[in-house]
Amino acid sequence: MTDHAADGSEASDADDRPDLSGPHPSRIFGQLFDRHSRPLHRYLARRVGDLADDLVGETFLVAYQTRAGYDPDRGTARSWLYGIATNLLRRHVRQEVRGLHAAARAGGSTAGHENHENRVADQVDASARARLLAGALVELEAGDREVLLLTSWAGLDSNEVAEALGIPVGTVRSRLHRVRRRLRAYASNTEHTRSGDE
Amino acid sequence: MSDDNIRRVWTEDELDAALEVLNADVRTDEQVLSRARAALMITTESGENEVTTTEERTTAEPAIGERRPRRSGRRWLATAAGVGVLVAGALIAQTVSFGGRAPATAEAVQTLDRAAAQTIGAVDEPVGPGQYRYIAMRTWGLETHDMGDKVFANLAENLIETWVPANEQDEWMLRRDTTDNNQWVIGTEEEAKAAGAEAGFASVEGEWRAKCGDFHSDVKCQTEGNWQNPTAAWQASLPTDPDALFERLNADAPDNDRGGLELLVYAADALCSSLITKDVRANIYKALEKIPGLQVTEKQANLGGRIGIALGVDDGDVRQDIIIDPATGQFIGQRQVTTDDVNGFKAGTVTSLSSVTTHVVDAMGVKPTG
Repeated sequence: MTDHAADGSEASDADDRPDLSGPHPSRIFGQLFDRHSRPLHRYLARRVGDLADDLVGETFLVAYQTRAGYDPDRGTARSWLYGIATNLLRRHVRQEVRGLHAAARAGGSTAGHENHENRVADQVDASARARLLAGALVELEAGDREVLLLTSWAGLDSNEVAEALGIPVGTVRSRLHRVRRRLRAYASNTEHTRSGDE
Repeated sequence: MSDDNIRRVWTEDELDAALEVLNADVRTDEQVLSRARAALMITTESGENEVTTTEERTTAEPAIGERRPRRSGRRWLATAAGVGVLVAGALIAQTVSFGGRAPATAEAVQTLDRAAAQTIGAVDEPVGPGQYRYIAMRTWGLETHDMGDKVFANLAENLIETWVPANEQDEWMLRRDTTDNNQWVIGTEEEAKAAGAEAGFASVEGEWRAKCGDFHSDVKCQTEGNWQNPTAAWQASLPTDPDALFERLNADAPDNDRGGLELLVYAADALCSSLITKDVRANIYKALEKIPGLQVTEKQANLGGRIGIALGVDDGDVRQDIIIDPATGQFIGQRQVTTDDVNGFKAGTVTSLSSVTTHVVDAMGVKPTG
């Protein structure tokens, strides 16, 4: 499942490969901004909160600065922009981890207190699971978290994640598979441990 | 309860549901995007090739393309098309420590009260059918030059002229020119020349025409107004009560650790456009009285030959000033000044400066006489 931000950016992969090598790229960058800034901001805000306000602009300024390195044959502009954003986010891992810890703590324990009979794993609501997940994400390697969240929150497919991170698509798929398996086991394990604490 | 003892992993759907919910309550501030877009447009149109990010450039920066000229460097504040834009305020933000929440000083409040009263009593020169409001902004933008072993910086002057039709839905015109006026603020002209640093590289020249003044957007007349783009409709939507207007400013400005300074930057963006009607301008002056830390910073500030009273907020490294003509309440311009030695700039260095004048003219492209 992905977090489709209703921007339609996945709709047409082919026209998201602009030629940035011309002498006047300003107009193209304006179009790139209009197309990608909103979902990109949302992705950044979900990862590092208010820092997204600075990072979204920085992403595009760095993109402009490094436009000579963009090759439309090797990936979409979207992949490229999320790759730049990922690089910028790596400087703010501590901020992200702090936020995840806070999200994990929010609202206290997970399963309901009101009715013992109802306190079964299947009825743990989604927000309670989200808190467990936040705690689990803290434990991940930064690279694993990137693959997971670029896929889930940014809605990139495996090819795009590979383009964004500059790693083989096979690595993306195996990493994603491993991370998801680990999270499903880890989070549910935590769920039962906490439920059992009472 | 026996269910608790059954160990099972989450299903794929349960994991996806949790991913979907986690941190999903974020929102995107249109003004943040509007500002970022304007900064991008100014950078792309100026041929700017290097940016400053929230931290010093490190290994995390992607590989630099071969075409990057070595002389290029940071630029803090550029102003274009009546839009004041902090291109790389993040450079400052990383060292900022805004602690004080003291209210505006009595002197600042008195100055703004007076300016507001004079503004209300003034008359906005009317723009008749076929006429244009001519707005001339002289703006000094910072250019820095990283020459490897030595860094240079200069302020380069640009003249930005805007012709605004009586009906803002009609066609506007924007003209940008460099004036060749230049001032070195780190290093001397001789040293810079010897090292190969060239002033004026970030300047943009050209002429644009667009309905609604949307020069840099593909979509015309669709943008909602904001502090950087104060359309008539946006101005009409502002609260007239100064307290409520301050709350609006507070809500619209980014919630960062620059405190009152960021509020003044936003207000200055709007005032610098020269599009604010006198009643709204008076209200803004009154609202500024609520800005924590606002004080009179210079009683005889000279902004490009025009003298006014400067009001500013200092965040410990940099001070944002607005300059008002005390005799008429007219907004003269704005500037940023370092208040501590920061990033190679000595305390007291002006890092950006803009002054505005406005007249009514009879045709697009025509300058006022006299």
